[in-house]
Amino acid sequence: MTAPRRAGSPLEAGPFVALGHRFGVRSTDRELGEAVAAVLTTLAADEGGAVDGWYDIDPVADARHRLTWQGQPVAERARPANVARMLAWHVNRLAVDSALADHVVLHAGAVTRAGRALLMAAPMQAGKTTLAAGLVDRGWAYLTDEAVAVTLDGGTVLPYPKPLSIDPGSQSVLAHWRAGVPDALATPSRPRQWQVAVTGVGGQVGGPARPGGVVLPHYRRGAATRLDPVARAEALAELATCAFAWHGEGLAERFAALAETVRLSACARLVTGDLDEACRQLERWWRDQVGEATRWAG
Amino acid sequence: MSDRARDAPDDGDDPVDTSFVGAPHPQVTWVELDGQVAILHQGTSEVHVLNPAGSLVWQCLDGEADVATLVDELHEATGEERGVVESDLVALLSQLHRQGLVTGR
Repeated sequence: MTAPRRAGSPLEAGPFVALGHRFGVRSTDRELGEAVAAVLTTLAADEGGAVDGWYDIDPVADARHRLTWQGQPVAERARPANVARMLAWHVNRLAVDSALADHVVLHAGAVTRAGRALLMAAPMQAGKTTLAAGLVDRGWAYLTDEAVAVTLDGGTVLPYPKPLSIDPGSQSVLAHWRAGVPDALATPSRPRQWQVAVTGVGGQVGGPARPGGVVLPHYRRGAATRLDPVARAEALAELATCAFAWHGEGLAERFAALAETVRLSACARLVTGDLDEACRQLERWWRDQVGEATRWAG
Repeated sequence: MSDRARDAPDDGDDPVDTSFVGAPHPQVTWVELDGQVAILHQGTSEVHVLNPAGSLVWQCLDGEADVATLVDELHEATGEERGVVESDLVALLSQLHRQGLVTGR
């Protein structure tokens, strides 16, 4: 067993804001703390202020670290890259919880252009993050790759610019995103999910946006990439299956919010076999279906 | 057919015939989007989507008109043969009743 590493002085970073979850990060391993703070940079609160709680990162032994939230363990013996991943997972969970009371929260990615948001709603492994990254590469502003919060009037999509979580399966087509992974979080020996701040690869973060498009993506290896319009009522039913906590009190109000979201949007189904082609088809569709409405939006 | 409330889905007894008077179940809320109705059942949290013809029927379910009346109206509106309209309508309402989306008497 090797002794815990304590590189430099402790680090304290924050506040960060993930929807309604305000938090800070403290680390007694300065190098790792700085790396974690770097991938969280797009969540940094502009106005500063207090935090609701702290994540603490402390070396234990054998290059492992303990991660806690408010003193409660999130991970006891995690490798550096896993510290960032587990922290992102925990932040995401509390971010979703924090938004549920006043928003409909969808398992979806989103990007924005000219003040209108494109929602990409699907279960895990459908290619949401890869599509979001591909569109960011084409100049779209990033809102999120995981959880879209829509106001209860259905008219506004909020940014939740968490680090993109790029799975090994997408890393070959997004190889340049590797540059956004801090060295302290790199795992050269085997492919693992990358946590990347969109600004780390020259991307932009978008602000609150009016819905403009809803896409239901589905990645299928080797499939011909194809985008087909889908009826708004069908899109609404699909969005409902992607909503967090879709039950209980207030369900009718959230249903009405999603109905308004699709009413404001062009809707399509996208089978993706090739990222570049998917982005090309999406941009063409967006220009045809939504572009007219956004022409004067700046 | 008896006058008992026919709002219990999956009771194994299909209550829908030409005298059935249907209405949206109190636990549902719905929206119409581009001629298609999406229905939320707040008990199951499921969203059901009707095709345009089914959506037209849904919007006629006012808790007052019986199936025979709806058949007349839809026959006139669509020009479809009355027998076809009736069998389609009964099948649709039976399905909606089984799904707990429609109540009736």
